[in-house]
Order: sequence, then structure tokens, then C-alpha cells
Amino acid sequence: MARPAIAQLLPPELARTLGASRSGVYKALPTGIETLDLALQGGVPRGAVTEIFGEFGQGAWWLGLHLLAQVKDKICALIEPAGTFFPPGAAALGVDLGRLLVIRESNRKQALWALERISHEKVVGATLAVMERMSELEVRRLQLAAEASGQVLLLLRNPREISRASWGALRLHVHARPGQRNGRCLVVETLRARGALAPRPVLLEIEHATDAVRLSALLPHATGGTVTARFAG
Amino acid sequence: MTLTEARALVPGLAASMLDEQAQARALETLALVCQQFTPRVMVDAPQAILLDITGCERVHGGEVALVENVQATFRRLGYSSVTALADNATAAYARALGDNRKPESLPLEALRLESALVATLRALGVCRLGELLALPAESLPARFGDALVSRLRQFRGELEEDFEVYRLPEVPSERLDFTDPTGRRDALLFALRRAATGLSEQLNALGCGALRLEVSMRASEGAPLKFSVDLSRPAQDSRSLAAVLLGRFETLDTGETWFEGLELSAPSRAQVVGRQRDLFAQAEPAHEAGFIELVDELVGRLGVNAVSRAELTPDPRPERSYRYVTFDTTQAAQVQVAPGRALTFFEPHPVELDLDEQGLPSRWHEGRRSRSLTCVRGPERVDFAWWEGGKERDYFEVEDEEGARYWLFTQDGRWLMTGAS
Repeated sequence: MARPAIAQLLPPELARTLGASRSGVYKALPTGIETLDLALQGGVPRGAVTEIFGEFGQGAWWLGLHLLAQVKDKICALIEPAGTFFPPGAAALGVDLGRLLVIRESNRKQALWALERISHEKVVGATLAVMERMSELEVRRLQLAAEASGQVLLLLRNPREISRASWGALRLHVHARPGQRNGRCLVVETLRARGALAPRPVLLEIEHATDAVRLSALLPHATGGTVTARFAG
Repeated sequence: MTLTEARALVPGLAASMLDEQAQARALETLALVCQQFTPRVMVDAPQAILLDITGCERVHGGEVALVENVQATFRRLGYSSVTALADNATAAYARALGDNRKPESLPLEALRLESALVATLRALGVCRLGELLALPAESLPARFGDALVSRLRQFRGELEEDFEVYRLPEVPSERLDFTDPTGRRDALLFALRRAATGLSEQLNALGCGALRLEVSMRASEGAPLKFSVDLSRPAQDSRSLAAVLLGRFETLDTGETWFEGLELSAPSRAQVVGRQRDLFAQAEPAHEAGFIELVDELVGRLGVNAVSRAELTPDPRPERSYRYVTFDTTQAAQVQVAPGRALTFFEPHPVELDLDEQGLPSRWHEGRRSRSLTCVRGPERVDFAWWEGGKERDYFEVEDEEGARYWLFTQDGRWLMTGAS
């Protein structure tokens, strides 16, 4: 029997007050990956901050840009003070560069101002930002801005910051699995999903030739200890 | 009446010394604004602007609509005015000075005659234009001089009165002088907005938008504070101009400085062309008013180069395969991109690798850490032009033992890392 989401156990008013209700004002943005949408109850939340943690080269950028490419009808924005964004790679994933506002500002304070300013805009559908050392207060301000504008606000963050408290509605951890020569394997773990129990991790197999997701599957939750199977005979 | 008498009648009446220079500048600004109604604008300082609207009324929906438009513009700029319409400049001027009364009821002062002549006529019982016109015309030159006769002929349209024709300034600018020096940021922000409104009217009149704004704020002591903003597209809307100015001003520290005024100019401009839309096309989100304001504010604060979109080029070299352009440029031709490109790209740095028998990377040494590598894509050869050294590069995508993917290339036997996925 499926376990009910926490939000459904609470009175509706209390669920909304605590921010636990996913059936809020905005519909979720489908990720374009059926299994991931199933795990996230429809997709990444609009009007909220989604944090994506991942080590360098382990797929966090892939997931962030893939989600950006799902926004079809609005302008998107990208802010990355380090300046490593590679437009041809984003275009290969389906990001419409003609509708992508790129902020090239290396000063963190100015970049953060731009991120906050853009987060308030309803005309922007989604913003992807890569900012180091974001404080709880900074993320909270972005969350409030996203709630007002209805944007999908994606923050790519270093896994070293996972332990920091955050106001983000959804926290994902992306890491790669080695061994696929004609494709690539990524695992997307949900660390926190507001209003729901943590869904199971999702395995994605990405086709080399097309960068399309050819397979996605739910993985079992990781267990704390080692399970030893014993056989008699 | 004296100032004391005036204050007795109107308690709290605000009074200040007349600044003739400021008055002349304001008149010039209004004359420039009036260029939007007619190219032939004449100025009679300190109080009058004359517009020759012959042939222009059709563009503005008729004479009455044009006059209403002029009045509305002056009101918007904070001026009260009396506007009159006539067949010639002298008559229009006289009617305006006479509060648009009928010609025969106009006071003699409306003809702008010498005060001595007016006094003489009043002594003779002639106080209105109608009474003056009733005098025998042949007797006027001998009794009152040629000046009166000329003015009457100008009033009737028989002779043209010379007025100074307004010449467009080389650089439209708006100058504000504060009543009192101030260092308060809210007051300075208000002044910038006010200046933006005035400049916007001038740019609208000229049919162009500003590509660069320069501000000079006159300090009570010391050098003026100067700053400039480059815009990504010609802007003439007052909100857009104010957004970029305020965005830039907020990054400046004025400290304890007090300012006496400011001057805002647009040294670089371009024609503003309206976009023609397809009748059935959806509204372009990039041109929604909210998005345009957002871009203006970002440009004002960060600079025009920081706010852009990326455009692909056909160049196979990764560092030349894209460029950044402003949002207002036309879309470039679509360039097909092969899958499997890196998602991040940075300045290449050398890496220490072990190679296998085939010459492919098999191990990466980074400090004390060592990771095994598997080549998953490549080599992809990219040739560089002979004038750039002519050295080719072979690009590879490799995966380490944890599944992380990196973009490497080899050139002249050296291995460098330049991106990741």
C-alpha cells in the first residue's frame, strides 16, 4: 500500500502555512523524464528553489540544463560568476539560446543582486544559477522571490554545502555511475522534497549519440548497514 | 505688489530669486521637446515658444488635437502655459499674451510694443487693439512711428516678424539645479528620475533613443561626480532611462558629498524604429514591457556586456564556437550542434596523464590523488588556421572511476583539460 504524502495527513490550511502542500498555486514543471516526474510528483516545483548538488563533472550541470530546456514558452536566465558555461553544450541538450538571458558577472555581490532581481520577474520562466557559499538567508530570499514570481529557480551547489540548512523546496543530489561506454549513467537522489516523503533515487541512462534519456528506473532506497545474504545448502 | 503683500495674501507662498540662465535653459529644453510637433520652432526668450504647424496638423489629427497635445506635454513636464492658434506668429503671440481673447479685446501689451508707446496710447484713450485699429491708418506713422505700423502689419499677416529659429543641440541634455544642496540619496534618486523624464521628452521629439547616458553631478565642494551607462538598445522611454540610471547610481558611494545639481546627456543615440509585427504572430516574450525593463535595470547596474545571450557560430574550435550578443540583435542562422559537447568550458590547464598502448589517457594524477580514466569519445580533430599557428588539437571525452566526465585535448604532445559534463 502506498504511503500517503505528509501534506495529505495535515489539514489543508496547515499544510499551506507550513509550505508542505505541493498542490499550491503553481503546477510543477515536468522534467521530461517519466520516472523522475513520478518520483517528484509531477516535476520540479514552480515558485520555489530547487537545489541540485553534484561534484564537478558528475552530472549536476546536465540535470540543470536539461530542466532549463523543458521551459518552452518563457525566457530563461543563467547566472554563473565563474564563467564556465558552454553554450554549445547547452544547445545540444535542447536549451533555446535565443531565449536564454546570460548574466556574465564575476563579482559575487553583483551576481547575487542580479539573481535576486531576476528571481522576482514573472516573465522569466526558469533561472539556473551556480553560486558558491550561499547562506541560508540568501536562499530564503530567493525562495520568497520565486514564490512571488512563480519561477523555477535552480541552484547548482557543491556537495560540501549539503549539510547547511536551507529553505529550498526540493534538494537533489546527482552523481554519476561509471562503466557505460555507449552512454552515461546518472543517479538522481532526492534529499528533501517539501510536502512529501523522500522519493526513491532515479537512475538515468543517457544515450551518447543523442544525449537523450534512453532509460530511467527507480532504485531502492540506500540502506544504512550491509545486508548479507546467506544460502543454505 | 511687494513680496510682503503677496505673502499676506497667500500665507506660505514660496518665493525664490529669478535665475535667468535656468529660465533660458528650460525654454530651450521645451523648444527641443516641441520638435516632435513641428520642425520649425521659434523662441522668444524668456517666455514664448512659437510653433509653425503649417502642414503638420494632419499628422497630429487636426489643429485642435495638436494644440491639446502641446498643452498636455507641457503639463506633463510641470509647466502651465497659454496656447493660442492664429494664421501668423505675431497674431498667435498676441492672442496668447491676451489669454486668447478676441482680437479687438486684446490689450496693447499683447503687441509687445515699447512701454513708452503704450503709455502714450493709453493717455490718448487707446487701450485695446480694436481701438487702435479704428484709428486712421495713414496717420499712425507720423504720430506713433514706424514700429507701431510694422507691428500692426505683422499682426494682420502682411509682414513676417523675425523670430529666432531654434536649432537642435548637438547633444540632448537635461540640467537640474537643486534649490538647496543635498546629500540625501532619495533626493538624488528623485532628481535622476526627473532628469530622465526630461531627457526622454527630448529623445522622443528627436525620434531617437539613447545608447549612452552620461551624468555629471555638481558637488558643493570638490570635483563633480561623473558616471556613464551604455545601453544595449536605443532607449527613449523615461522608465527605461530611469531604470538604468538608478541601477548604476546604486553602485556608487557618494559618501558625505552634497550636490547642487546634475546634468544628464545622451552623447550617443540611434534612431528608434518601431517593430512591424505579423498580424497573427504571438507576442514575442523578449519584447514584453516587463522583460525590457528587467534588461534595462540589469544593464544599468552590471554594464551592457554582462547582460547578453549566446549565439553559436560555425567555427569548429570550441573557444570560437559561440559568441555573446545583446538581446536586441537579430537571430543568427541556426547552427547544428553535435551531441556530446561539454557543458562547462574553461581556460585549458595541463594535466598529468598516463597513456595506454594506443596513446589514450588511462590514468590521471592530480596531486596525491590518482584516478583511472576510460576514453568514451574521441579523438575529434580540430584544425587551427595557419595564421594562428596551424596546430591541430585532438579532443577526447574521458570518464574517471567515479563516472565523472571531463573534456581533454592533446596538442604538441601536451594534454590539457578544458571542460566537464
